Amino acid sequence: MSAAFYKWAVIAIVTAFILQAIARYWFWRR
Amino acid sequence: MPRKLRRIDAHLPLALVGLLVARPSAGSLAAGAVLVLAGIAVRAWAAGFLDKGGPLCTDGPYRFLRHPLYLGSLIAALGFVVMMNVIWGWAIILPLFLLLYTVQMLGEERHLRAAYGDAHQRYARAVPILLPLPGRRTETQGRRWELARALRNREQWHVVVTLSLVALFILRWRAL
Repeated sequence: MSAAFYKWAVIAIVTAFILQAIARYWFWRR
Repeated sequence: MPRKLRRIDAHLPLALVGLLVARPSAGSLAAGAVLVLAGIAVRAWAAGFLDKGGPLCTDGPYRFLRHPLYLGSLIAALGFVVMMNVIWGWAIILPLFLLLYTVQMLGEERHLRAAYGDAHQRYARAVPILLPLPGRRTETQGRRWELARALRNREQWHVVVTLSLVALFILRWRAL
């Protein structure tokens, strides 16, 4: 697998987790 | 906040990418599988005691910690990182899990305090949030572990998905 693949895979995963954490925060704050 | 945002689940993309970049060995698979099975066991133990929306549960593993389901998930996640056998997996995956599960636990704590008031406050003072400590426990309410309860909590699907991922890691190892 190429270095570019790793880079974008990591960016996608980190973004997904941060989005999920924000979503969870809003869910419990409602 | 749009409703859809709440349904985001980052576990699946992580599992797919983790599987692609994994370089499992027989040893890493075996060591990781032990942790994953331990995580499944902790979750199943907890799920057989918890009545969501029912009275505050302080039975089974809830005698020792307040979020045994998440402790089980974190142990299983550690197991998958071990299975991956990719050194930077630790640096990326652990902080993400700790972030997500901390937000989730603190949110639930807020909800539980509102729902159960003083009973939850006493329970929270007696028992740690995630990691059991010697001497820190509360009385049991005499509830027994019940499979029907675990099934009501849909724990079987967690087991199926987790074991399927283990199977995929084994296939990944064979394909190397």
